[in-house]
Amino acid sequence: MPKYKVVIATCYGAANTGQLAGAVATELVKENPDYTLVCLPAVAIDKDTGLDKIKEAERFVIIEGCPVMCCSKIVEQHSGRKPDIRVEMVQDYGVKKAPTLTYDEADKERIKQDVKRRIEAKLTEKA
Amino acid sequence: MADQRCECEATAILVFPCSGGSNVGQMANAAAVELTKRGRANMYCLAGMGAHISGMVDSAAGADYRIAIDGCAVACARKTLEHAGLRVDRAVVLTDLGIKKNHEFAWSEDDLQRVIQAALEGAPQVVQAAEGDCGCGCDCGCR
Amino acid sequence: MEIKILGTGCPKCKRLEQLAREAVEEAGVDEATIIHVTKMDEIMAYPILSTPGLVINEVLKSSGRLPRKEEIIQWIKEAQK
Repeated sequence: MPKYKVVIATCYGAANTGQLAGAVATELVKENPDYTLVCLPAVAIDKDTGLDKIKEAERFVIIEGCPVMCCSKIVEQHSGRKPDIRVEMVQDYGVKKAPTLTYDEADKERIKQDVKRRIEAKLTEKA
Repeated sequence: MADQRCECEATAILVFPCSGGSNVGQMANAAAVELTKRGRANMYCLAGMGAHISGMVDSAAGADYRIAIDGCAVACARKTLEHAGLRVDRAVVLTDLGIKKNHEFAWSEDDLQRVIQAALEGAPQVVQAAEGDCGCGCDCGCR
Repeated sequence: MEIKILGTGCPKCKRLEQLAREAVEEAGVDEATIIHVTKMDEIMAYPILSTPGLVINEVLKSSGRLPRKEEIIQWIKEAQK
């Protein structure tokens, strides 16, 4: 029996897309008691609690900010587990990356709804 | 990457929050966003440092001063920067400031201001651009 | 080899382009295109800290500073391998 139902790793980078990804992830966790965040830099430094969270997740989700895909690279290098779901703000949701830390609330809402829908669909699938 | 500016701006002060999955991690992120908004520092991507993306690490190495804001004593942001070979000039740990870690994602404005002050302690002054002029005298019209 | 200079056109960006041209010549590279990218959404496709940025064969090499010509030559040589 996996310790965690849904574990989410997110980018929280220095552009609108990074902060948007982070906000989507954080709100999903706030709104769904079965969802939890794993600290991405903890994975990057091989912290056992971070690696364990990913290993013990029934479903593991990566929310990327932009096509650089830092999150996926870190997870691949340190955990090796492939995400069950991976979304990225630019390619999947058409968000234009800009040199600002603010993002559109409407984008956050629609992306959050879509990611939630994808997660719930995955949870009903057999392992 | 926030607030695009050209290289003629003096004193690149970078701030890297851990942005971790707790109140203190999220406060670290909020503090870094506020510092960037105020023009006192520039946030850059910690994940890029963690993934050792060469052009990104090089860009961070080119800055004059780097601040790590960590939510808790695990100090992921500081360690990630050090692991990438980057000198950390100021390391703040929120739990060391007496802020208790929890998973509520809420905080007081007072505590946030304390984090910001702690991050700025000892930081060099940033040359503030005048409206419409980056201040370096290069007449390039960048902001 | 494709070299991109990312920048909205300020004197530092122009200087970087000049350095890149000299570096290409000194490295003895025959086939190199140098493109100056000035549109913001194209610049933002790369994970830059700030302009100017230097990209070689779609890989960001540095941003937010003017690299020394020797560094650019080194990156060009690495890209040739």
